[in-house]
Amino acid sequence: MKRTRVLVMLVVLLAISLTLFAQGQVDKAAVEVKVLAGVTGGKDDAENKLFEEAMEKGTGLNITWEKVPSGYDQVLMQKLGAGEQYDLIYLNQFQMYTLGKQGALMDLTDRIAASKVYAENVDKTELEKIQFNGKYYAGFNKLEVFPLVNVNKAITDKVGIDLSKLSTLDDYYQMLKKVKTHMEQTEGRKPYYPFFTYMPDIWDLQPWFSSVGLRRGVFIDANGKKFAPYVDPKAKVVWEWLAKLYREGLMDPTSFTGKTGDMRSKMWQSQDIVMDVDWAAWTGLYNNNARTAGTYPAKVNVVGLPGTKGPSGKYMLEQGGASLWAIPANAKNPDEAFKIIEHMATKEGALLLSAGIEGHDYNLKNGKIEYTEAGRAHAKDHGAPFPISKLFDLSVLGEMNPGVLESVSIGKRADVEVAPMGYANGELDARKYYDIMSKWMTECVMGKTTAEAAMKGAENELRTNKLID
Amino acid sequence: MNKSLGRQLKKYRIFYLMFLPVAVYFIIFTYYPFLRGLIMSFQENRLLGNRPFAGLANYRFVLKDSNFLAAVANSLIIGLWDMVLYFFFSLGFALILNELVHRTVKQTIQTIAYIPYLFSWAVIGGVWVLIFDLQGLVNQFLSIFGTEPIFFLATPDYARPLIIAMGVWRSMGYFALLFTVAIMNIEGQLYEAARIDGASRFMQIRKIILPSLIPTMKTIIVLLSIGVLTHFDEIYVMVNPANRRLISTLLLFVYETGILNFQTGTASAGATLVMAGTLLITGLMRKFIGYDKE
Repeated sequence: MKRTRVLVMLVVLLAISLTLFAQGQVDKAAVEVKVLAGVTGGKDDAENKLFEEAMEKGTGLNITWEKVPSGYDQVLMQKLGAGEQYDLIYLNQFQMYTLGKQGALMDLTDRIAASKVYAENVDKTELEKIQFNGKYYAGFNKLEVFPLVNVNKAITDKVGIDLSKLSTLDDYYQMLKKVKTHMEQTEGRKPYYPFFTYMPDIWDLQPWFSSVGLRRGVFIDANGKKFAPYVDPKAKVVWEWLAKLYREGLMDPTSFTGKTGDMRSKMWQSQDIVMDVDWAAWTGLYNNNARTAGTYPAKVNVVGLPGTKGPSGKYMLEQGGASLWAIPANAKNPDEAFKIIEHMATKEGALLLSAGIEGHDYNLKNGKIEYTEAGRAHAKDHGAPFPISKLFDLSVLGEMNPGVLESVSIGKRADVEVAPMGYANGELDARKYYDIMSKWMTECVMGKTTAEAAMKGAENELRTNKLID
Repeated sequence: MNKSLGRQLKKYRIFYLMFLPVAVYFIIFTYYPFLRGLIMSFQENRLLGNRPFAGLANYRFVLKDSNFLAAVANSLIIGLWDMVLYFFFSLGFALILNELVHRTVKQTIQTIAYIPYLFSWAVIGGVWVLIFDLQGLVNQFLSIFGTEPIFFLATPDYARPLIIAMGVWRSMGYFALLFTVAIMNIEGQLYEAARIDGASRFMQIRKIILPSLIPTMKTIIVLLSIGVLTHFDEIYVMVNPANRRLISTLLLFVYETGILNFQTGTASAGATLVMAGTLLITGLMRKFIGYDKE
């Protein structure tokens, strides 16, 4: 009788504990992790739902993946400002500094230091680049590549130019001149402006400033003083070179008014330009687009070049500002949110953020990826064409776009230095810096003022606005 | 007084009830955000959590900012020119339209002039790029005479005139429509009497139409003065590094500071100053034109 009573009690206890365990599981799964995403996710609502499910499967969490189709910065500001709570938000490096300073982001230093996933998958040098006052306020969305010089070899071949020999400003000037003459006199495309550079954020100029060993942005010297290399007297020669290109009709005038999209279509669609400075990934995209249009490689065969060699014998390229994931200070589920950050840094997460969703973007056949029509249209990019995980082998994605691997590998060369722009330890108001610099230096490039006067004007305004000391 | 108010409320309760949803709408979507913005302008720049009181720091910062001061000048120049040109062009257009006898022709021209008002600024920006780009319609036309192409979109001398002309082109039809409606409401007997007295058509315009349009003119002037400092969309679609210095306006400053840089306190201070400036300009204009007089 006593034994039966004990047995009954044990059964009851087991039943209760099982119920509680199950309840716990349900509660855990019921936690809704809210994510506000910019570029990462599905390409449309239907695919975003599948992306959300794949992320749930990968993390074991209940996730709401809200992807903003356009105007992300505005939506982010409005939603956070209105007090809406998210567990994870997508943001860029500049926004991380701004929100980090405002105390709007959770300090992730301890979590990142304790993360096995991050220790195994993320390069320490990459991590150092997003440190702010010795702390981490975000994790990675992807590995940032860099813009480099993209040249349409199909055109330069016609005028017999050996691209491997271009390493000085004058080399590039001579090349552009020859191309202009050929296109205008032999092919009858007058006026032909062979070079486009997007001036509004003085974004694409790093390969040229490499020739004088200067970098974009604001840096802090050994005495703690902030300085802007692009207004250093050494920069004058590059500004004068750009002004010469404009004066002689080698630079497309719409560089001042056009958008990046205009530049890109001029490169691969109409071949209205022969050279620009664009992301390494775009070397492949130019060629892939041309292949779809049937013009690759006869009319369009874009190759990446490192630009100009600096005084130290190295080529200096600029790494793109990091695209990141941060946990807002008012997040309800920071543990779960960090689990998603970690998942995106794994090989599995890398596959999702690049190739996309299995069964929708691709299918596995004998362990190899076979893309569906949707997958091919999405060009191996669901937020991270180059994932942050160093363990992720890009070759599993299958054949890459023509020329892209060669462009990316330029960044790994011993004579190439890839580094981000100067953020002055997160103190730089990047928007103001772009506006001031582009405003003054456009006047110089368009020949309305001398390089010296424009640099002085920009320097004074940077100082008045306390961007430099 | 209170009794009388109570009686009034009781008597017209059905109308007040009908007005209630509108009042609630404005309270929620206009006055509450405005109040929040006003409070934010006295707080530190923080997007989340507590925002400590910052006193007048944001206002001091904005009023010392050279970009803000340049934006004030640009806004006033562009806004006032727009105001004057919108007014006279639309009035002139409405008067000319009124002289057209053929009904179909009149309606067609009116519709064509009104259509740009229905376009978004993004579309208008695209149209103007097509017209004024280096290889745009104007330069193609000029090339017939062997003229060198003019880079209208990036030449500072053309920056403000282009923006102002863009606004006039878009809105002239709309304001002309307001004038046209007012002209149509003029009693036909007045023209009849004038004709009997031997008044010429020009005399009729001067002595009948223009005086009859004064109330409409006052309304349009007040409407236009409200818009002097609030130019944004056309600037946003046309701004580039070559023209930024001359066309960057107050609302662009607020947008770039608040939205792009997350400096909500600073941007709110800027927006409050725009609001105060608009009230001031509108108040002065009302006084100047005697808006509240019969």
